[in-house]
Amino acid sequence: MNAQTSTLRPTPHSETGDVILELRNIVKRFPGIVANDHVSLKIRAGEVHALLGENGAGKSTLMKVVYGLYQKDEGEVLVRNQPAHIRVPQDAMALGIGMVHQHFMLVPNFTVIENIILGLRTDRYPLLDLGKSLERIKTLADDFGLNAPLSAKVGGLTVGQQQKVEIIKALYRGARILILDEPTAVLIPQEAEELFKLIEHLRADGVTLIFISHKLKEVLRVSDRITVMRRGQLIDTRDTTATTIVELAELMVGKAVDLSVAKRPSTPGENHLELRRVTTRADQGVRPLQELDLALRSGEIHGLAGVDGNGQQALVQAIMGLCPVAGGQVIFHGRDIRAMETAERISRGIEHIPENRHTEGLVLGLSVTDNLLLERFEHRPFGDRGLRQFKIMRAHAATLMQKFDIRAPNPDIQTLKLSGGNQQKVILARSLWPDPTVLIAMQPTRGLDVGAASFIQ
Amino acid sequence: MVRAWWSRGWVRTTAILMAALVVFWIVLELAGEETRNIANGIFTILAAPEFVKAALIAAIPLLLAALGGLISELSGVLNMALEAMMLVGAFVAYTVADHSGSPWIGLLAAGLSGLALGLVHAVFTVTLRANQVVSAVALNLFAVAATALAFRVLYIHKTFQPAPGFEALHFPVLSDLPYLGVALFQHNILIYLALLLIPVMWFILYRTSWGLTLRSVGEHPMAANTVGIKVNRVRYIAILLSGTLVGMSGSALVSASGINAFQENLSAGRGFIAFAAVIFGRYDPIGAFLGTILFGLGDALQIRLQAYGVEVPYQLLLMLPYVITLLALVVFMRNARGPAASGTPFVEEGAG
Repeated sequence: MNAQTSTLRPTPHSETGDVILELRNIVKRFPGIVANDHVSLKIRAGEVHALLGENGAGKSTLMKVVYGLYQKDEGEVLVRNQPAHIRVPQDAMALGIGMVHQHFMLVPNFTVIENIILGLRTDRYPLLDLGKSLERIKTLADDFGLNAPLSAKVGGLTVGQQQKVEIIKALYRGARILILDEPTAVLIPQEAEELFKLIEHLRADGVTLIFISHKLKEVLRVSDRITVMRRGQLIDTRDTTATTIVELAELMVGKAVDLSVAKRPSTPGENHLELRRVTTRADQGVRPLQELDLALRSGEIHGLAGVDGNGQQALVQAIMGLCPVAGGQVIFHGRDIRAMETAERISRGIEHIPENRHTEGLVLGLSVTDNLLLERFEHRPFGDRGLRQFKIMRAHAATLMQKFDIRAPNPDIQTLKLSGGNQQKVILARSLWPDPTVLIAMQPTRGLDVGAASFIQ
Repeated sequence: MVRAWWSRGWVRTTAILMAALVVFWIVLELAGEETRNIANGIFTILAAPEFVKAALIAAIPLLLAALGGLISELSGVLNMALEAMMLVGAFVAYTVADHSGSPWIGLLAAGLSGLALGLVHAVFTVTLRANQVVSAVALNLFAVAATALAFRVLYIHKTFQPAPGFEALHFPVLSDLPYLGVALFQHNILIYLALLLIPVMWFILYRTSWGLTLRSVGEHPMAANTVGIKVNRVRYIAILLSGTLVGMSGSALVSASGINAFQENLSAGRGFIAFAAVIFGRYDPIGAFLGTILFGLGDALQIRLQAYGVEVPYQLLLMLPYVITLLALVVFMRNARGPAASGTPFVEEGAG
């Protein structure tokens, strides 16, 4: 592929406003579900077009069809008014379409440069010698403020930097239409702010952006037009200046939504859980706690703010008994529980919503039922003398699925087949159902839409 | 403080070696006259250039197999079938050289036989997404039985005859150097080609687009897919190349026997040692070489101890190179990090 097509000069103004990408009646079916139901959409050249919708609304699916990762079942894609046959990502790239995925498609063990040129013909093919293209990569990196050496391993970069690498990678491949799939989901507020500036920058350069999100405020902030999707269907497209947050929320959920957060004044009671001068050991990149004092009272929501990697993980591990506490005491209902097994702590009412649902929260290969009962499948009534009581388990799972609005065809389906938001709801249901005394929630609304987020509150 | 020092590789290595020497010295002091004489004899043997020569010859088949295994493993497909490919390669190399009269044709045929086994492994693991270990175990079992059967059918009525082999080369000046001449410069062409392959492989893996593509497929196949790399095609190529190289290692094994002969189960687990050398050699051609040369040294030592008549059952001595290699690999080359996607078949998104 020719990597020289994009010079990132602003496009002539005449092009702006023309339709650059058109989707006609796109249908994409997965077993048991229609992910995209006759979706038609026009993207104008040079605009920032937001694709808004709840989890599982079909936004990512639609864009994966455009990028050639999924094959559409019906419909047409037109790029610059020409019918486009996009079967693999290479076809999309040749048409100037790039995509930054929600889960970055970077090889952590490779350097920034290696990730950017991966799969491309280098100037001195087959040698990895970059020659002139190195200059172009450097220019792009400087232009977009990538504060990392190009020879650094990507795995060691911050999430924000990795995202920039992804964007540079797409631009270097000549992307003029750039799809950003939930780009702020993984960012801290400062990084998100920087991303918004970068989006402005790209738009000024004439790049057309498609911004997938379920966050109303940021959509209003960065986009020119907003298309709302719900349950696989396209609901409507609005000019950003002519719509409001309330209207968008309604379009998105399909009914009126109260966006104000109703917080009752809490009436804190006695101390449930207390940490006294807790110290943990440094372990595998987890920053340890140093003499941390913390008291959680009944009935209160104790907010812990901080940039990732400042001890939140160690705190959770100390409370849940997932790592040894080197010094200090962890007191639960007046008793030091440092020696208590994790399972025992859970059964006594300390629950935990992990930060990463894939690596810590769920066993993706197991069924929804099994994941819902992961903490207590051995105990009655779900297990009886080592035999599992499948009827009771399934009934229980069905109840929770209804109560927490977990959308899955049946409780026996593998959890990995659920959308991210529904996976998160499985974790929520698991930890909220037993009515815990203490609930530690790490980023509990990650990947949740408005409807579900309001349920948590 | 001590812990910090200990965690440095070279400090640990030196300390362990010195401790071993001290223990050895004490044992010798305590032992009687006779033992000291034996020890002296062994030292003389080890100091001879023939020792290094023999070690190199014994290491080369493993080196070729390890390099082959490395290619496959970097692409994300475990090749535990090294043993099968080596053994079949050895049998084919011997038989074809014997019938055609040319060791080169034998080498070529051995490579092709490895390629065929690689194709089977690739169809099972990449196309049919079968478990990579199970596929390899099946191949290994097949290879032992099939080569034994074929060997008996073809050769049972014949008197033993060595097949034509590769001649030792003689370089002007170099081959006549004291010590080094015998140790390094009187080998056959296969050994130099195998050694040359180390830098060549390193260059391909780390300095070419193709190497980057190969490694990306083993590290993060999804990412490779999104930039348009055909993951399964790359894996096929990797496994076929791997099979070819490993098959050729069989030819080196026949040649290493010294009499260019085949016998049942000639590889005797060397394929597995090569497999371990890939992992503990940190998935790097140079690391793999270090692991296999260690085996060669152990093998050369073992043969000399047997010949010297040390009063130890020879079966124990036969174990020696395997034990030395594994121990050394485990102690000195821990924390080897393999390709992230190793062992997992690639399924394209939305394929279902």
